[in-house]
Amino acid sequence: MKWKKWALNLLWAALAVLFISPLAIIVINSLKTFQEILLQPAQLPEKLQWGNYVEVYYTTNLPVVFLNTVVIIVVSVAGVIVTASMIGYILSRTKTWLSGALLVLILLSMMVPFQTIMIPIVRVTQIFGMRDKAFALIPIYIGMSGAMAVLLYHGFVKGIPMELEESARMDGCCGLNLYWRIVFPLLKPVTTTVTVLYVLQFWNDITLPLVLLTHKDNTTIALSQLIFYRELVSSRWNLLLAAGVISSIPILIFYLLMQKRIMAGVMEGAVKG
Amino acid sequence: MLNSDNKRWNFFLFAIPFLIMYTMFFLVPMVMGFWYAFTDWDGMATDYSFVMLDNFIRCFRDERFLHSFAFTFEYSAIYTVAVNLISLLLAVCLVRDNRRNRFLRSVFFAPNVLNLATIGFMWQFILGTLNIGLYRKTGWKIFEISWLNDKNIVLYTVVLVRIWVSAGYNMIIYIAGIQGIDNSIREAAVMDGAYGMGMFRYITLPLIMPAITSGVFLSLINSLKIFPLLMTLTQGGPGYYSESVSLNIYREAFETYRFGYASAKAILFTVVILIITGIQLFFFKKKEDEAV
Repeated sequence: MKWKKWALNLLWAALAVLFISPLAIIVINSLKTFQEILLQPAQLPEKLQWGNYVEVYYTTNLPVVFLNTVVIIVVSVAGVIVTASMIGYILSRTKTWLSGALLVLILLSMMVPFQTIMIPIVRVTQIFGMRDKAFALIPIYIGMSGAMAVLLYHGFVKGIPMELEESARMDGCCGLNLYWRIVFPLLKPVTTTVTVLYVLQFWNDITLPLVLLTHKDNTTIALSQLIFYRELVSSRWNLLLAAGVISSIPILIFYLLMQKRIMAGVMEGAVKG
Repeated sequence: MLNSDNKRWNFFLFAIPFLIMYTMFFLVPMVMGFWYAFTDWDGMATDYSFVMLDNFIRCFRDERFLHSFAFTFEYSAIYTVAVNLISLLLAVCLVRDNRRNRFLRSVFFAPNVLNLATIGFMWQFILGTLNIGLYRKTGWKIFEISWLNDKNIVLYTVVLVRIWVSAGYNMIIYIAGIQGIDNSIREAAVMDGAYGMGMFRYITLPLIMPAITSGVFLSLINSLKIFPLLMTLTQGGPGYYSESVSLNIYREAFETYRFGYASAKAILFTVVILIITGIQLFFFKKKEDEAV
């Protein structure tokens, strides 16, 4: 029985290695010269070309792009949490035809593909003078992709008993004050789920920046990948791969730190969504 | 104590911040999209004229657009079946909570956090440049396969890459489904002599049907919208053979600048997605009714 267990473990280990090997191949090749990539595809690099990474770092304006992305994500996620939790809460606590209708209206955006609003979004941002401004992404992200968070908060509030709010109301606490002091802390499990799911989504979103941002110095990590690709493919694979690796590192670190929460969030999102 | 005026004010106060952004950046653009679909706007001219249903009629004569639908449907069908079978298998194998399984789960889930455009060009490198290099070096038949430039293969290549990305995601959904099964049911089944495949077929499978329904529709709808991966993996090629509906609409809008026509295409695409979502909701409703 024991050897059977070992054989099985070995099989899984082999499968895991095979599964992850494409990423290893990419990392190895990102440390070669372009010549080596073409002529010695199966070998390890003769000398590790860290210079690829240095060159990518400087030529692609990576620090600015990275900072852009982080600011956009932090503010957008905070915005989603604040606005979606408030409306999710009030729609859940109010039982009128209006609250029901509003919820259905909001869920509509979870079904309509981005292509439908892609062209008008460009027009709207032009009207407001927000085209090509990276920070214009923030309100658009909140508006067009906040619906899932609204749904999650709405569902969670339904399960919270009213007593706590009522007793707080007796003590004269009401409105926004009551919400932020008493209710919002209770929503923490959803807030965690919303945070991890939206960080991943915004970090990797390429479609919105693609249609809004046209200057390559003023972009997000996700879009920068496509820009590098268009500039470098077939001519400088070593740099392109280095760019791919370097831009994946922050989100992989986030994944390693938060994987338990991320997986719990996926389970939660799939059940509700 | 709380009069109704106050209540109304509260409702307004809590709902308005989100509603403003939702209206500005979703509702209004959606209505504008409908509007444009009936015009010949090119994105730059300040005036444009109404062409009524011309754009929609044109869609059905547009070979390239029709092909993109055919490709997207075929891809989605194959992908949805394959990814769910594989992830269900993974879930059944890795459902028990121990260190080995937790490690394997996080390995299989990992590609999900990466950017699809990055994944696209990484695989283009492996299946294109690297593959050709290896064929030159070794002459082995396996490296002769033209993963990205052969019309008969490219669809399966996209399916494979996408499975590599998403199998771990659906696996997590199924693990949650299986773990959600009440242990007493399992124990009762064991008492009645159920084990192995029998246990899976008659106990586990029927009980995770809701999870499977949501897993299937999730992958179906996501695969119909496939876009960023293709932008770097195949660029819609060879020719426009692997162009998805989303990619086709994007190019119509931002490469040929026929905004009106692209809007009409987008609306047809939305209708297709809404029909499938409707079927999904119907399924869930039925399931809920059965449960009651």
